[in-house]
Amino acid sequence: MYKLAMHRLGHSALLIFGVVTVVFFTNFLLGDPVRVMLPASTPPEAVEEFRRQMGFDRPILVQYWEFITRAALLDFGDSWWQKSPSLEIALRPFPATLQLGIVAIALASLLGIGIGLFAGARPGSTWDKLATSLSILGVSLPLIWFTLMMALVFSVWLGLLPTAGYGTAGHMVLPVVTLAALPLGRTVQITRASIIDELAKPYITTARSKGLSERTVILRHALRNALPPIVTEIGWESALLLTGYSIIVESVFGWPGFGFSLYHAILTRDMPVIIAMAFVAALVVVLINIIVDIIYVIADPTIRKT
Amino acid sequence: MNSIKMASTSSVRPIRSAQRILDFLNHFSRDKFATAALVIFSALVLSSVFADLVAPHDPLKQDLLNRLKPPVWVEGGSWTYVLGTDLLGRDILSRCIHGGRMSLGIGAAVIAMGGVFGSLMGLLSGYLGGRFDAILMRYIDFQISIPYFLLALTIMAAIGPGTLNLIIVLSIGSWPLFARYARSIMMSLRNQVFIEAARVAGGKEVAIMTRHVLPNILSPLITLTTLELSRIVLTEASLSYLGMGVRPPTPAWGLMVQEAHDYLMIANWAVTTPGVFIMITTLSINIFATRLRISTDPLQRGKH
Repeated sequence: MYKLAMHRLGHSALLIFGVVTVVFFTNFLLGDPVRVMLPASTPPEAVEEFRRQMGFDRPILVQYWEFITRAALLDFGDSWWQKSPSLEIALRPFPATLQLGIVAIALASLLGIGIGLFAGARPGSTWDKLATSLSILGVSLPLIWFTLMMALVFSVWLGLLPTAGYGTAGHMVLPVVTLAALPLGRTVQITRASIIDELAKPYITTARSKGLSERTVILRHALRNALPPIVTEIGWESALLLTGYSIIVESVFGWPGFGFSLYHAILTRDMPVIIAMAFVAALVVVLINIIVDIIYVIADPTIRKT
Repeated sequence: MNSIKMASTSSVRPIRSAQRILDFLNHFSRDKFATAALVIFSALVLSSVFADLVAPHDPLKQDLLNRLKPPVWVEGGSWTYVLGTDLLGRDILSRCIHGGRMSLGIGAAVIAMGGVFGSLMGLLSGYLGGRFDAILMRYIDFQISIPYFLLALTIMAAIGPGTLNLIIVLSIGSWPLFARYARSIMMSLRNQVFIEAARVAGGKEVAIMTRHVLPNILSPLITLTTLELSRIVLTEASLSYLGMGVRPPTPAWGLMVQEAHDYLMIANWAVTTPGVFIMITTLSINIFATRLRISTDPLQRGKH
């Protein structure tokens, strides 16, 4: 248990370090920060002068060393456009995204596991076919188009919900539904497959022959063992949702969250903020992995002994 | 599960490959959805390959007098522009057909690069084992645990949008999946009973590879490839929509959605149509892949 935890911790640290490093080098090697910060008409001498002042004329490894030693102390430098620390700018919009994300993930997980169990318990039935078809539809949805269609139908045509903005519960409905669609489809697929596998195992026959009700067999016996792949998938989808889908959904619905701010930082080429946001995203992935591991340990007592 | 696996694999008799293909088609065509999906996907591929012949108009030609024309079934629409025109009076149907060439072409290129490289690395890793395998798997674990979309977006922003850059970035995101999959298949096949049996029965290595191992590697790899293609089409559309993918005025589905985004209220067809094309593509791929997995995997056949 202790060894496993240390191993995971090492992996997490490496992951955060790796992501930050990759984003640093792609930004500073492949793009010229000075060209981004100054207007195109700046005379060349002034560009060079500015480059020296900012320290961008030094070898890239020297700059990287300075950056990474500061980053280790959570100092990612100031934003280029707003004079405040980048990490603060990266963290500020995060609660808004979490607000959407938690509701969407809860919705997708509960509905997904429910539908997946229901379908997996009756493979080949009409209900199963319906659930399978809907899950394929869910995973095939192009998010960019789906968000716009939802806005068109529910806000423009029916006038039921606000098109964009932040504040009331009504503003949350469309972003949550669009964020939940894809994870919901995947959760149904993985739950169904996992439960079908479990139900074919000998211990299920034992449980049934003991005279337990089908409900108990599925909910208490099969589900517990089917859980690990489902939890892994939900964890992965949550990470994707918070750091990927949110960029598109929040941009369309004008939700002032992490994805919206990240896209803004990318468009304005605010490199310190982009790197700080990549750091936050990596941190989110690590935290989700820890939560998934904890659920593993709760679901499967044998892990505790390893 | 294990006992079922062994029972069904040992009962598989060696059959000629022609018979095998017939069997496959027979099994596959029983499913109407899957057949429809395959036909639709083939039509999309053909129209992309022969886009210049199929498209009724030049996708780049502007006709400002006929801008934002609705599709034929809406009042004011005409047969000249069946699916209507966009803000610059370009024919949406033609742009969607050429957009398919872009999206599927990028998908094919990414799979050609990432898929081939990844599969080779995976097979090699499974075959060699040892330190090479350990290091490669550590790296792949690392890359797979990062949600790649954010990284792809920042990399594209740094190196600038464009088709070639897009293909490179998507390939880098794609190869570890193929590597891991190919490796796991290599590892699991190595210890399979029927391989052992073929060897004990005096089968030559080459015959074992082509007749027993290859058919087993191929079908899961085809499934992975098709699913990956659908994912790549979606990612490409998202990146293009965010302005970090295909550059205008090249027709690409995601880009078309973005260009028409601001006119959603007055010309929703300009947004709807390219979106429907993306949806049809991913849907037909996903239905096909789901069915393919069932048809080609003998272990799955009895289940559905």
